[in-house]
Amino acid sequence: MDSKLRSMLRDAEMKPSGRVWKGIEARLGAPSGQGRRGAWIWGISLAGAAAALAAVLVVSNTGNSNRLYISEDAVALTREPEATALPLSSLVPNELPSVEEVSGRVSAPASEVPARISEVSAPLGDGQEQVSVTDDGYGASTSADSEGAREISSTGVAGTDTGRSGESSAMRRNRHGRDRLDSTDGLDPEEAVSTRKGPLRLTAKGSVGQNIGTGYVPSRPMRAPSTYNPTQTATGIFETGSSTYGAPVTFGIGLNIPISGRISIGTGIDYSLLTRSFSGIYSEMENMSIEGNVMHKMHYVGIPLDVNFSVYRNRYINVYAFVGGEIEYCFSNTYTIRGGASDIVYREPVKGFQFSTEAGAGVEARLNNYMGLFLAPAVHYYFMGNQPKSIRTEKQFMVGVSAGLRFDLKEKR
Amino acid sequence: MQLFGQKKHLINRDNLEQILNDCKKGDRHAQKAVYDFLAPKMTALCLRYMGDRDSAEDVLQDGFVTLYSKLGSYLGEGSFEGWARKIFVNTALMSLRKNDALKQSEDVDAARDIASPEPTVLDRLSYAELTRLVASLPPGFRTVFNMYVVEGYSHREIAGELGISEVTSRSQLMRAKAMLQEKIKNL
Repeated sequence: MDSKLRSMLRDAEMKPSGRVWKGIEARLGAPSGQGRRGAWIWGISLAGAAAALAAVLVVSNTGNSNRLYISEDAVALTREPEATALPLSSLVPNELPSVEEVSGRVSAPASEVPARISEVSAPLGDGQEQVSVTDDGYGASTSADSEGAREISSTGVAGTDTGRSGESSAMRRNRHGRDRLDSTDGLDPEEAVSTRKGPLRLTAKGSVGQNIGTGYVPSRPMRAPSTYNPTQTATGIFETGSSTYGAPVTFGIGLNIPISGRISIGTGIDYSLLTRSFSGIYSEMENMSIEGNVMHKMHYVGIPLDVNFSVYRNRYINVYAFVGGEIEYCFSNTYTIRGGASDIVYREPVKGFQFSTEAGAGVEARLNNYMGLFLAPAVHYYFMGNQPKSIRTEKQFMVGVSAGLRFDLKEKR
Repeated sequence: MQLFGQKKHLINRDNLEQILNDCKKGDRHAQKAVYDFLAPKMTALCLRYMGDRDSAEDVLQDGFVTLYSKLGSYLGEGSFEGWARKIFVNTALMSLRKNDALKQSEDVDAARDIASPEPTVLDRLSYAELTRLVASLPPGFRTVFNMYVVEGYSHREIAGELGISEVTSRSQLMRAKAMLQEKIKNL
């Protein structure tokens, strides 16, 4: 009896899905850990290049690089309320013009595209045994002599009687008639692409943004750092000219956690840089002030959280939509004044958090079995809070585009 | 000599040695030919050990990568398929150990004499159905069953491989057969 079982089980055959060979090919192309490390370095470099490309796209869309910046006749920045260096009224113009354009940032969602390939077929040679495979990719099996060649076909049932077990062809045909497994095994490659839960994925991204909205514009002099108090006079930095805003840039790394076949959660950590420059006066003491150009830089670290929904995908591409938000904290807020003998760096801590929400769509192209390149435009809304003056406080609606790579951390199951 | 083209990957006794030599040199077509030759049987083997299709394909992939890297140690003595089968069995066992699947096995103390399924019953089963039934057994049961019945390991060898006693190996086998018989009856 055991020999009968042994014979049947040793000769049983099942057709593997296409992802197996794709995975093997990928691993043969990148043997051992060295190749993997090389792929990672290459991937991160590509992510940076993609971010740069996105920046170029944004710039080119403006038609004029100057339009990346907005001008504003704005005034006043105070820091320490106990001393008065210059009266605000002498520095403030009557009214502010509207802001034209700015840049924003975008965050990245994530999704996955499993790699699958379809059947291949090969003709029979003389004396070779044919092995048939049913369309569900799981069904057919018959004995095959290791000494003979075989054909794999996706057309259904067929079998001849040159197998090792020496059973009759009628018996084999009978088996073939029942030689299917449940369709719920999910073995159809195309179906599996759309319904199977994907792997945990790592996202590396870069993004830039451009302002298109008509959000909040201050109608009166605005203190740049921290809180706003128009009656306050203080020692610190005073804006005396218009501001130009640099395109916000964001780099991030994160995880994409599959929830179901189509839905995933993306989170991680982002770094964002907001810059602007303006003409201003720095007054440290009542009898000391320096006038010059001021470079204002704000460094944010943030945690995004997005829900991604795959709208359409196949083995090569994934089109998805996403909504989410982000909480950010400004860990560095500096003003560099260039006007004296040497630059003066003025720092001010920032309290509170920047909250934002976003929605967008993206396209991811599968590069190989474990990596995809994505591009995702999105709309952001930045909530007003206790944050220093920046493009986000001037224009709360922003559009932007992010690009990057996603890596499968675990082989797709 | 052109042994195989883009769509024609055939292995037979005459060209096996040539294809394996090409395979050792990293020829992708030769590697694909070996894959096409072995994959159907090794898929069934991996499914019997792993229990589910996805895990089986993971092991299948690992097994082929190992096989290509160790082709140099195959000296042409004995069946190539038999040599390859050992690689896949070992890869499956490594995966089961890694996932602690074998520790989830039921501990059976008292082995009892179990009648094997009737041969006539087996005749009504397809190979795939039988494979699926074996795959549905608990991990410990099916591992011992596969190693003993299909691969021909002795209980001593199984005990050494799995870190269990010979008595446990025997009892797991008995229970596996009983459970398999029950599943066949319920078909």
